[in-house]
Amino acid sequence: MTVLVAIKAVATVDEEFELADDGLDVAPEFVERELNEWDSYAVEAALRLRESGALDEEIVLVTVGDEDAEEALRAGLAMGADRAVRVWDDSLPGVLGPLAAARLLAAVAAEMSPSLVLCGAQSADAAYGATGVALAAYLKLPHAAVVRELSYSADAIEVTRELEGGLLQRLRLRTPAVLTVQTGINEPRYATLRAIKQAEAKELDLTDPASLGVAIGDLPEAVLDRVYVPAVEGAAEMLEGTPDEVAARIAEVVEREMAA
Amino acid sequence: MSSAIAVADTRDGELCAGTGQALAAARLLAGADGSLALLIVAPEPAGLAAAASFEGVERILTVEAGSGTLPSEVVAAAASAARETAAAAIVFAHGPDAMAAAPALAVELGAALVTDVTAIAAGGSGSLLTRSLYGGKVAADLALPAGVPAVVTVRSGSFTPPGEATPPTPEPLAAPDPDPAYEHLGYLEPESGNVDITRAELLVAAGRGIGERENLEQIEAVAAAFGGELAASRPLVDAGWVPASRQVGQSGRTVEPKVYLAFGISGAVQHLAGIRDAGVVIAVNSDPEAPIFRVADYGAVADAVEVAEGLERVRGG
Repeated sequence: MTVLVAIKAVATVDEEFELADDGLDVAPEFVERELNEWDSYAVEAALRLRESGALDEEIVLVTVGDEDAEEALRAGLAMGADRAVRVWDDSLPGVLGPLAAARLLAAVAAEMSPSLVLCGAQSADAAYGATGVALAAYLKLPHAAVVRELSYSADAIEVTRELEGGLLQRLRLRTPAVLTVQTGINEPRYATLRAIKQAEAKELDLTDPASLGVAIGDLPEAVLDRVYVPAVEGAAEMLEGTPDEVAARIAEVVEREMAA
Repeated sequence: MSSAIAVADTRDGELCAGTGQALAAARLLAGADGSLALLIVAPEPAGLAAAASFEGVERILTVEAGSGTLPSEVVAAAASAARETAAAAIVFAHGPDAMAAAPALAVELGAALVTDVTAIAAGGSGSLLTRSLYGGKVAADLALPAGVPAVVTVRSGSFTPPGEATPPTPEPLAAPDPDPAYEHLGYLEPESGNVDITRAELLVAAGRGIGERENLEQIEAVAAAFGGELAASRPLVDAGWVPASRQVGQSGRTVEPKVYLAFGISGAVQHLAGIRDAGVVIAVNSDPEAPIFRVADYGAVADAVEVAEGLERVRGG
């Protein structure tokens, strides 16, 4: 049996950037890719479940992404995951909608019948906050979103979900289940140099939508019309000077506004 | 003619601010002539229905849920309401509840899904929905596909709620069969220590940019010196330095102090969502490119801790 962790190599955009010629994304030369922060917590959660003895299963990473996504998979393998699967073919759009990503991940999951699927609660770049729950819906598995704590037994999993303002909800779910993990659920480990080296040798398989029997074009995905730099809401008045001078100005503003 | 449903944002037997905002977005998607329904899925929904005084709501549909409303209940109720009203759009307030229900509803209905929407523009061939990418560095406009419904979640504070009107008589719908895969075990209230940062007039907030944990004392000292309350961004809560009850932002509290004084907060969109209604925002951050300077009224590119020390000296006399 398998614990599947769905991850994303998220795009981080440089401070200075330009848009791509087609107006549908940031130009690729201004973009770096890295393992999504939320997903590193999901990988860590899987590793801890195994280390605690709650689950003794293979931990498999899966992502949908082009070749540049492999570094993020290697980062997860270096943390301790056993192997990875990447789904791609060049007909897929660079910016994938949440349904398409979830549908492809679900197809990979369906082939493995995992006992648990973990995802980050959202991605840092597109931030739909939707992939994990949509993936669960495609698989018809119970799910919990924005999980801050979890404990696992063979037939049920207990989770604490984070609602707003620090309010928490405790839930019991039948397994197998899909959980989306919030930051702060654990402290993701740093990979050692040795582990990073070992990760280079771990199995990383490539598959494509056709092999999975998924036609992305059939999904009712919203269509990207354009991207643009949003209007700035009005620049701040910048306070200059030494820290003490800045402090004096801030004190003035605070006192004035509080008295108003 | 088009119809849309807003799913009420509720907690603890009360309607939350997201309800009116979801209705406003649903109105935009339904069009001025379209029909608008409010769906309330909650324990004892009748009281909430009576309090739902929003202009332009033609129908209020209620579904009685268990004591802890489960996503599975919301999905089942919203799916049957969407089918009954032939809704073109089902709108939620973006947040943990919507994140648990909206994607599953979209899959269930074969609908499009666009989350965390900040604006909706009506167009000739259909609506364009705006959302942020890359932490707000760019915005994206998306067109909805024709012939299928859309499930949409809207960002807090992005839509102006409709005016007041007497609510229509609620129409109770059958409660969905309980899903044996889920069991609600209870809510855990945050450890507040009797702090309610949403009521504070001055918030002194700390973020990752303050550096070491011991520097938090310096920020607390500023809060104490000026009679404010300490607040924090998510990373400090995740690190366990500050209790969750003091967290500002999308996953924390939405605050409206007269003054919001931010030390070492870069201003991720999730954080900025929580200070939209703050009066004057003052930001101190060593990174001149920090997004918080784009929304602040006053900014200083400086070491947060040094300025905090200075403030304590100024106030201490």
